[in-house]
Amino acid sequence: MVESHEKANTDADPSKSEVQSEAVPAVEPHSTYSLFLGCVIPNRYPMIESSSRALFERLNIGIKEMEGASCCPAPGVFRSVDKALWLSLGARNIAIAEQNQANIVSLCNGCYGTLHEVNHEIKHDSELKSRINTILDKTGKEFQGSIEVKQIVEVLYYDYGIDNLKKLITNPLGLRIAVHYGCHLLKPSDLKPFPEDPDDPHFFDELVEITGSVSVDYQNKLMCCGAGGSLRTGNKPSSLQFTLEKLRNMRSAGVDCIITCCPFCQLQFDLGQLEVANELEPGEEPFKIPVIYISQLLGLSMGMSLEEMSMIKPDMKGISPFTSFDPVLEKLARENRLAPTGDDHHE
Amino acid sequence: MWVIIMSQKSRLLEFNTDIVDVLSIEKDLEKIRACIQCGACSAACPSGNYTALRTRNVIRKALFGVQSVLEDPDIWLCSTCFNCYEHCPRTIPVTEIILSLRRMAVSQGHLPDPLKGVIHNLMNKGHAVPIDPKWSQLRAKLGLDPMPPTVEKYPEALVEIYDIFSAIKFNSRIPHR
Amino acid sequence: MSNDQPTDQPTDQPQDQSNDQTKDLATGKPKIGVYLCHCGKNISDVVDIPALMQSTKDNPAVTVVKEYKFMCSKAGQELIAEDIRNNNVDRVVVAACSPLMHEETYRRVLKDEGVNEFYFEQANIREHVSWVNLRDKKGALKVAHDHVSMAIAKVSNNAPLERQKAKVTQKALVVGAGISGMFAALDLADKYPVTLVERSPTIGGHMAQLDKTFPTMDCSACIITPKMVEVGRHPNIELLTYSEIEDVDLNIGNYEVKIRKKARRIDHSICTGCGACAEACPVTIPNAWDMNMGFRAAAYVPFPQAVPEQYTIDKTNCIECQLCVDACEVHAIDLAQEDEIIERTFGSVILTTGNDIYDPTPYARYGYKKYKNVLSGIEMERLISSTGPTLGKVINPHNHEKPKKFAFLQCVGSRDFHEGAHKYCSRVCCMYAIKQARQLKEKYPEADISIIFIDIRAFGKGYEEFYEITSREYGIRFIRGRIGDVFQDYDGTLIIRGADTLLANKFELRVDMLILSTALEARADSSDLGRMFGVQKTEDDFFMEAHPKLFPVDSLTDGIFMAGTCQAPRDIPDSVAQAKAAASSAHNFMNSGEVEIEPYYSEVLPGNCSGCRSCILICPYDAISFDEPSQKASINTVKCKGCGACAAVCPSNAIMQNHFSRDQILAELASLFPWQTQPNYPTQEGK
Repeated sequence: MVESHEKANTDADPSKSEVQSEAVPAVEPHSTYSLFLGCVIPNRYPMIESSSRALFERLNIGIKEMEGASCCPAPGVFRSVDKALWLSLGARNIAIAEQNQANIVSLCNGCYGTLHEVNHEIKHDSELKSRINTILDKTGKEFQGSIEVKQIVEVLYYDYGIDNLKKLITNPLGLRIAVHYGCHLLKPSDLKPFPEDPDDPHFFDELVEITGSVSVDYQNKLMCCGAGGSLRTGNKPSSLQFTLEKLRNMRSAGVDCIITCCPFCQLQFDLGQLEVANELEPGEEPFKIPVIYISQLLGLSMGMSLEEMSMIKPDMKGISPFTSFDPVLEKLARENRLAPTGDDHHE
Repeated sequence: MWVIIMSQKSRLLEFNTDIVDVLSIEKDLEKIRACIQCGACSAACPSGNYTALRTRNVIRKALFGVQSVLEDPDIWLCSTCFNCYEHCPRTIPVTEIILSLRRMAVSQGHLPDPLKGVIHNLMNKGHAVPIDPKWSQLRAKLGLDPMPPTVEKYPEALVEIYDIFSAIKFNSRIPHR
Repeated sequence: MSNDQPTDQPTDQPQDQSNDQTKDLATGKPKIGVYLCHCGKNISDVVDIPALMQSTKDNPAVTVVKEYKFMCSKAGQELIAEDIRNNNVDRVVVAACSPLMHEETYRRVLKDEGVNEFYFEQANIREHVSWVNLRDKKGALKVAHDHVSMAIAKVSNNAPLERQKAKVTQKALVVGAGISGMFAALDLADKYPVTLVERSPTIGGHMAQLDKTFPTMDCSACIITPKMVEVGRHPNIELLTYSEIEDVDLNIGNYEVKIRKKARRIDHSICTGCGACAEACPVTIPNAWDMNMGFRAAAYVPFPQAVPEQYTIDKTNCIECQLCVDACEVHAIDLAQEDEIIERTFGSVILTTGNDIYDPTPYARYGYKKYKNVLSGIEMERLISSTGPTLGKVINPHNHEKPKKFAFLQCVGSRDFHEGAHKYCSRVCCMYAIKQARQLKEKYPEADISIIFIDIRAFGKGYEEFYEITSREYGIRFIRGRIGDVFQDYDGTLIIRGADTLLANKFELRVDMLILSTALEARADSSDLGRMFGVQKTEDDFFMEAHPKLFPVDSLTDGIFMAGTCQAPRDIPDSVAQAKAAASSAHNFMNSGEVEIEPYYSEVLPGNCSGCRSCILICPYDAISFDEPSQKASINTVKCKGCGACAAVCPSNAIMQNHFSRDQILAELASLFPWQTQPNYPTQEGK
């Protein structure tokens, strides 16, 4: 005990840490999470998965795979169809992470919404818990209620700590950014463990601003993207009306790109820019606002390469991103803000 | 004149408490009885800006047992953004009530067609949005395993999904075909 | 005083101080009469009275059982009186409503018939039984039976007690000099010396901030200013402004109060109120009286009509530049002046400390603080007022231009069950919004005004008529609905999205200004004052009256009354009516020069007291002191409110609370578990 105490003291020695800070900032090993992928990320937006994995590695955040995980299941469709299905499939996914003995990090607001609420509901109702475990019986899995479900913005801002992230920023990006929070990150607010006011949240904006960018306030910023609640699935024209209003408001605020923390919002804004083309007023410019995931933005500002951040689009047709990153990449290149590409960057 | 009125189909609404009785089984949803019809839910509803969804009307119809609330498409226009719940001065879980009404509607055979395909994807593949060769190829080009470490990569896990569907008697309870 | 074994055949030893020759002494065994009240159908619809009659008759301690539709009626009281006169009954239990309601009524019957009034117990089978068990009649009967059994056990063990009398100081204190405090002080001052304490530099309160008053549209200043002057000049009112209550010794009828008179740093015996100091003062800070929209110097009067018309140099903002000292021709400035503590004794106190106004900043969705042209109701009032920062010219705080379109949003912070907001209706917001809308229309006939409301509550005299005239003659758009989002367009216009619940449609309004009709709320620091005066609070944080209907201006502490918005949100007519009622109650309390004190106080049994002082620490009324010569605790029976905390905390069982002694309470409990033997608790001996 005494020995380790002394060791801790020497580590805290200011002269020593100064020496360290001259080199590449050292990253302390951080907690390990169970990475929940869901459906849209691995199967439609793999760039979110690859850039986030690279970012976690850079941040020394440990990842355990959730092998055999399914759809969360989606809060809009399946919660609207059958609650038993929604709860039991959600419980199965949580049980996989419990076997990992690591809290879940979700890269998607929808999955976060489902898993967080399922976890909360079953944890707080012992009768429900035993009913769910009866359903799970044949799968050999058991919901214990031993872990927390977190969203990537929450993990970065609160768990990793925004101040720790700030220390890693090497390439301030100088972008004007439209932040889109997405609904299920913030609401229902009484269930969320962090103190963000759903009508006036700050943590995602702050996270974006440490990259040397400005989070631009635009009209109706906190409005839903329109994709959730099975609205995109069931009534795409209505769902795109949400998106169109938000895109117009973002454009009139003069932003370089949209930053999201959810693949479904990302899809809605990214593919949505093509889909709203028929809804535009006569003479209205088509939208060309790049939609970038938070991991990609942070990675670039930490000097990670475009390849590592999956921001160089492979030569394939009909794949994401549907709206080109080019305007942002050109601006960053013009202002010489990107890390040099090529082997010299890799260790 | 009299004859004409008599021959018309009555336009009078009938009230019953069936819907609210079902809702009240869940303790939180019972709060619907405290609704003062202030309209905060409709006011905060983004869908109402573009669609026919009037959250307040949905709640009133549910409260008074007006059957059309389950049959009309309105409840399916909600994007579950939770604004209505956040704004409700009586802290009624409005979004959860809409989801509950949807489940009631589904059990009565009013499942919207576009949702059926997604349900079948989940039943057969374990994902609402499954992978196909094109996306698998993209994964590989981005340096990822072509198959994500989900049920896609571990087909034996799919059996567990089937087991859950059968344990909850999904097929016999939910008309989804 | 001891009852070794409280059983169903208790012995009774009257207390020392009793000189009442009660009838039971002759026979030895108390003759208990139990009277069951139907309370119309309030009780009998739920509680099976015949069954309760039977189970009560089966109680061997009971002599007589009767039932009646209204025991509190004259005929009902006569039932009891007759049984006492005929020597059938010498102790009484009435099973009826809450004792808060009628305990005094029945006690008087006993007293009139020559029986000590403390040989009475009331079993509350209405509030505690029938009203809360409407759907469970079987359970209600069981609980009613338990309540009656406990009351019988209690009355069997009761001892005769006598009320004490204390002298009352014939001086009154009024705390808070808004419209309620001013009226209470004026009404009392014709008969008693009154000290009126106000913490701000001027009297007048919120009403002085208002421009006009609904529904008569008479100018607020025109009504209140003459009254302020009258208060300032009244020979029998000692006006202590810029002063706060520091400490109170809760001695009933003789409240010893310490008042901190804060240093104004100007000698008021010399100050002429000329204002030269304020002109010379280089400091400019927002004037809180103008809701921080106007400015004042560190040397200031809050507004020109302030009473007293004397300046104050506010220590927090003063930069000690001495310019005022040079400017003052009469040499009244004394920057070294210190706070003064004034001590007074009062027979009664009226609390009229008023309300705070809800801060809508937490409701980010309405854009308050984010957009300058979103105002609260009181800010609009100052903006519209001829004494306000713009002298009554309404300007848009965003661009300083003349606004044309306005929207009012009602129920901001009221009727809202979220944490931090208030569940109650604030009662005045509907009317003040309609009034402000009408004033705007009078000033700018072309103004376009919408009032967005949940319900319009125009309940007061002349209010509905006011609402009708305003909507008909002034063409104001009343929208039943709510706002969801407020955005500011690039030109500063506010875009409001909401729902019209009657059209069942969403709407978008573009306005120059949005006014949030904010709630009234309890003073943030009222807990401190409440604690000092022993006044409790209701769930909504306002001061609690002794009974909402029967004792609406009384607190639970004798001689301490309340009026106005410190008790609940209310309008000016109700506040004034209450102030006059409180003055009248204070007069009644002080008039005879004496006060009767309930004999529920606690007493120390010196033989048991170990002098540990636990009771002194726990007593919330500061009624217990330590007697050095005997090294024992000693209770001031006038200050003791009979809460029982000391009796409960005493580790050596040395404190006995009259009428709620350990033996009496244990007897009540034992009646609930008749099959169990009496638990072997130590009894109270040693007096």
